[in-house]
Amino acid sequence: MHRLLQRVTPLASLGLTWLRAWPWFAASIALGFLIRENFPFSHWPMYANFAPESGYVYIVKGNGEPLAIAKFFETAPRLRRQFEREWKAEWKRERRKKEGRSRDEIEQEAATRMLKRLARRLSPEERAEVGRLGLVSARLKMDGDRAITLSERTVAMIGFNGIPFSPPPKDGAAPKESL
Amino acid sequence: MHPRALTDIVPRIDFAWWETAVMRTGFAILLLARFPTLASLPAPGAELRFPNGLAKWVDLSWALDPFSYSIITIFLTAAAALYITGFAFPLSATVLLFCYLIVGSLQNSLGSISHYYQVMTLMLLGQSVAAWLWAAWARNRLEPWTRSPAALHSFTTRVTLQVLAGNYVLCALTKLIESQGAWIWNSQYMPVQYAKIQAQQFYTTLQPVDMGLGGALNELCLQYPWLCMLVYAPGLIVELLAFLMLFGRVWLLIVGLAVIAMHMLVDITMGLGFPQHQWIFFLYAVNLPYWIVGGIRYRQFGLRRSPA
Repeated sequence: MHRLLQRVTPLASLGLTWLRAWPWFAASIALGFLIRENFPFSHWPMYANFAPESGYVYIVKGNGEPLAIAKFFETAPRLRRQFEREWKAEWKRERRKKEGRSRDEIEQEAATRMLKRLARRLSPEERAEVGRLGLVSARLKMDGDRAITLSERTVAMIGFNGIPFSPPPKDGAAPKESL
Repeated sequence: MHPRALTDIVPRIDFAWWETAVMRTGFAILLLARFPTLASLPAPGAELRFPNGLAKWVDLSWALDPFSYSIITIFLTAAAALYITGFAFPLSATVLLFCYLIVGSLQNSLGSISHYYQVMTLMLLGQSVAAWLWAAWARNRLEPWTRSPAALHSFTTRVTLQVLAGNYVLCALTKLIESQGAWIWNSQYMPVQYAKIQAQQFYTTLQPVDMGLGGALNELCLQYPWLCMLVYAPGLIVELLAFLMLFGRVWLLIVGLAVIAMHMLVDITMGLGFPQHQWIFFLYAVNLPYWIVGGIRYRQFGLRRSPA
């Protein structure tokens, strides 16, 4: 043990010397861990772990046909994270207030809130064509034989009554982000 | 071996004025080209459900108005031009930082955190803080405003490299912590992520997705879990060892090329492109002008010494 300490101590001292020589390097790591996901800081949690199960969401018309998410100036990964965040917020509210809502009801409320925001981007003509707007949650699962199965569920479906129209900017383009 | 001998292998890199001028020009172009469009921000009047960063404390929703956004882009363009010249560097870097800070905070305030603008904004943050510190400690306080001092730009470039290295190492540490050290082992489940990415790309545009080589590789990864580990483990190792780029010019080049290769691999296999990160490493770490000029000088030196 004493020998090990004798060997480790100079290495630890060397590490500290380097960190002192690279204060911005050390600060970047420390601030990332402390401040986490607060722009521009991040601890970079994307793809930090992999599980045999994952999911995504997409938007459908009233007749169940998918609608391109780019139409709303969004991407599917961004919508998935927005839905997860909305769902978590609703779940926290449920735990706090004990309103007796089921998981499906909580998901429905979260999806409805999101869909109402997205619906603002659709013009009256587009709304007439689409009919209604829905959110589908898809789950992917890898089984023991490494086969991937897909299950889908329409979480919420809304109409357009009372939702104002926010015209998109003329030079509008969907984000170029895939993450 | 005395620890001093090991610390001495970390040289201080002094960048020439022309190296930093090329870096500034490239980075300024990147900042202009990648600035989030107004359409990618929440619609004016939309509720910012999950204010992020600065938006938690300051109401930034005024920036969603098209007129305000166009004013921001004017500031961005003017600051980028000044940034390239290197004059009044603390000011130009700070204005660029605030342009990105405002727009990036808004973009992340709907509940989804994107990781496309953080590195560029963190670089600007590091450069701004470093430039103001340099200006505060400069013998001639007017120098950073009336001139484009090579020493200032060399210093902010060293800071930028530390910020880049720190964030890549942080990325690797998060992977190891969140996966409890099993990241490489768990990468056998990558085909699930791949299927998710493929579906997400399809539902974004409803256009058929051609994943090219990535599709073929994924088929193999479904059959052979060890192949996933083999393909994705080098990425983690490159991120973890990114600090080596602070050990001198050669390490800077090696790590720069390795990070670019890692992003290319991730782009091919997962369809997740980070072109701005690749450009940043190409500009700051690969630093082609240095090696070209160094090569020419070496050649001239060699010719002079030649008896012929």
